[in-house]
Amino acid sequence: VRNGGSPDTTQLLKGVLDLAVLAVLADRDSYGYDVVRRLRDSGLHGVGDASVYGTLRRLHQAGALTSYAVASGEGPHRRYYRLNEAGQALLAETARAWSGVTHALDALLDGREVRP
Amino acid sequence: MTGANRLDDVTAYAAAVRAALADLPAAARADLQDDLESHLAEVAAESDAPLRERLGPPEAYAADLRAAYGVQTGTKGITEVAGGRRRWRSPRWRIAGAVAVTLAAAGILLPLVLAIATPPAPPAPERGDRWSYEQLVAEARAGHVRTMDIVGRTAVATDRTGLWHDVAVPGSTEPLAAEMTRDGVDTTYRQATSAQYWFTVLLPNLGLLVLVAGFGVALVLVIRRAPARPRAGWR
Repeated sequence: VRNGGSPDTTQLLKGVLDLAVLAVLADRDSYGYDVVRRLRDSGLHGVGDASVYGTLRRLHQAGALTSYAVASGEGPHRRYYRLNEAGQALLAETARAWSGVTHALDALLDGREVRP
Repeated sequence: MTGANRLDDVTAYAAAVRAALADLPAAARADLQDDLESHLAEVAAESDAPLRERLGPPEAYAADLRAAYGVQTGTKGITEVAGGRRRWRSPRWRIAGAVAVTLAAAGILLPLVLAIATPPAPPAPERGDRWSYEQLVAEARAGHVRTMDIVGRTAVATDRTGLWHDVAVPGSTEPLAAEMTRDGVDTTYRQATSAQYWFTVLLPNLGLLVLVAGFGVALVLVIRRAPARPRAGWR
């Protein structure tokens, strides 16, 4: 994780990058750099290019994503990633785990000064 | 940056990243580098700044790649769920599964077919009381004993009425066999440890043994040839 973003956010992002990438691909198929752009557009400015690319390759290798090549106007083909059935199951599972964690943390932080 | 310069930049940066990944297992390296160049080209096309400025040094880029690819970034179990599903779907595991099912079916069907094909055995003689050695000798002398089967330290006598009797045999069974034969008893005598004895015991199970051994060898081959998967601990 590089390219700006406060160190704290960067550390937090590492743990949830899988979920973020899966969620982005659940909307529509994307190629690597498009995923990076969409994550940053959604407010996750701290995501690093290599981290996203490595995550995509790992999820693909793990069978959560299928991929296909699409010719782009100039330059090499783009590799698009698509969330398959296993990926959707993984997304649902991870989202459940994530929501459990956020609920617990919300309860911990509730009423404290640290809360923004 | 001109198109040619940009291409050079991508090529040089990609080469440096590759070099930094050179120590990875071949399968992981190939997977990570699959469309690295086209991906970097996308990044480069966005701006005129050189890649080194936008992405940092290639070594750091490669380190991030490794971390995201090899180290579990999500909850531990989650990545393993996906990996586990994939593993059982790979052709290698499908073949292993088919072999296992075939062997299991053969193991169940073969004895069944043999049992059907084999004519039913004549009804077994009924069991009489146990004889002491002295009883046996007395019965044999009286001509009541038809057959005598001695295997190692155990012996079974069948009398003229068709009843069979366990017999307590003395320490040495060879004189016993000799005496029985003298008394006109149809005696079979085998040493328990003779090769023939083991052969008759093992023969019915030989097919099963071969099946089990073959399955074990196949399983070991499959496991040893399974390709490396992304796992934690490559840093």
